[in-house]
Amino acid sequence: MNLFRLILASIGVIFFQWAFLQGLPLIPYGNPYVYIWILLILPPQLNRQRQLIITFLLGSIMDSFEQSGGAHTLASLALIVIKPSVENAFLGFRKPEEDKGLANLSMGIFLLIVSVLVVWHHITLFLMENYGFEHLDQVLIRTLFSSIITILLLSILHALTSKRYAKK
Amino acid sequence: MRQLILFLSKYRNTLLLIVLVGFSLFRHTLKNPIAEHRINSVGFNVIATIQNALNSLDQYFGLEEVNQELARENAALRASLPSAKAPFFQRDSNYEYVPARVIEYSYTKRNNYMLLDVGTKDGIETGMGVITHGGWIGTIVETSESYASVIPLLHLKGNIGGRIQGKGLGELIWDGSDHRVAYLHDIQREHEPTQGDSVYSFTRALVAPPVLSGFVVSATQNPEDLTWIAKVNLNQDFANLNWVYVCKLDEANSLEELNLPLP
Repeated sequence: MNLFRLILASIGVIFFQWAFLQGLPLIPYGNPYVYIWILLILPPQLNRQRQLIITFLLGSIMDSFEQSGGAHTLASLALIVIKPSVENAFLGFRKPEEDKGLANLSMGIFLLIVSVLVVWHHITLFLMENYGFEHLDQVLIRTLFSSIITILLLSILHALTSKRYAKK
Repeated sequence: MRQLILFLSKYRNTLLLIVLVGFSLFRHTLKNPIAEHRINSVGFNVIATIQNALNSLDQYFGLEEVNQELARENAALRASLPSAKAPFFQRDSNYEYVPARVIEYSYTKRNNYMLLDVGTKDGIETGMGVITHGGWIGTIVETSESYASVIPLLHLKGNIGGRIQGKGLGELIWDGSDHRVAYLHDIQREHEPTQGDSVYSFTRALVAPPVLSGFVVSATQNPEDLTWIAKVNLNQDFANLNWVYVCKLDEANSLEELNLPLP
């Protein structure tokens, strides 16, 4: 995936997030955040600094939209930091040239890895938004509901976009 | 020098991460004391313009709701005619109500936000109160030329005064869970709030006139100082906001003059 397609996908995802998901009247607690899909499908061959900078920019844009200070940026950075470790834990050691990234995994293992990352991202995000550990029960409820819907939407996106499921 | 360059190139990823985390933490902490966050208002105008464009899509599909809201508001205004007994909308000619469209809002977060499509060109300033026919909404905290940002009641810092007629003053606080319910703290122990009591917002005259904001559902007594904590059903549906009014006191200047220190 080249840089141009990545930018196009980012704009698409942010538009989707804002036109349809924000203020979704399904749940009074929390909100699905699908924009992290971009972070999940970042090609593993991309060097680390670029990954960090893309994450930072994406998070900042979300923060400006939501007026949430730096909560999204921090949560996204937290996600990108633990992403390689989580991948290694589930997939074992792979040679760098054989590594095709999350976008080409089968649905089962994709969901496993993504669930861990999404829950981690959401709990960081809601803790940041809460400015601390007060009312922890509400933070956990928000994390639970939001994570379930985000994971559902991400699995649909994966089934739609992954080359693995494309018609041959 | 060579050592330094080697060090920098070896740990460049970690250093970059530290810088980025530092910057976003800085930005995040600036957002916390709401008054001063200049760095967060960079690009506020651009963001608001984009939000405005996205909102027009929603606006089209929401015409039916707007219609219903207008009908409800009409009813509320009728109720405030001199012949009616319980005025919803205060008949107060000292205020000018600037109608504003809500471009973007949230109600699912701990600290919610709201954007309006009026700004300094409409005479909007920070500190003005925002109400609807359904009650208190919030305070303006940031303005650009044609947009304004509001801290709604559904925010950690959105608390306002609340008053039950004849039972004294309390503080209306949202606890961060349900957007339909708020709590009125510190009602004196002699005055037990009963079910159905109407709760009016109470702010300085510069901010907004008192408006009917909700009804008491139940009350519990605080074991520490025996004051009452009333559970209040909010009159305004925060999940469904289209049009609001920004309150502008006509004689704000002469009121401000009184506050000037003596020469």
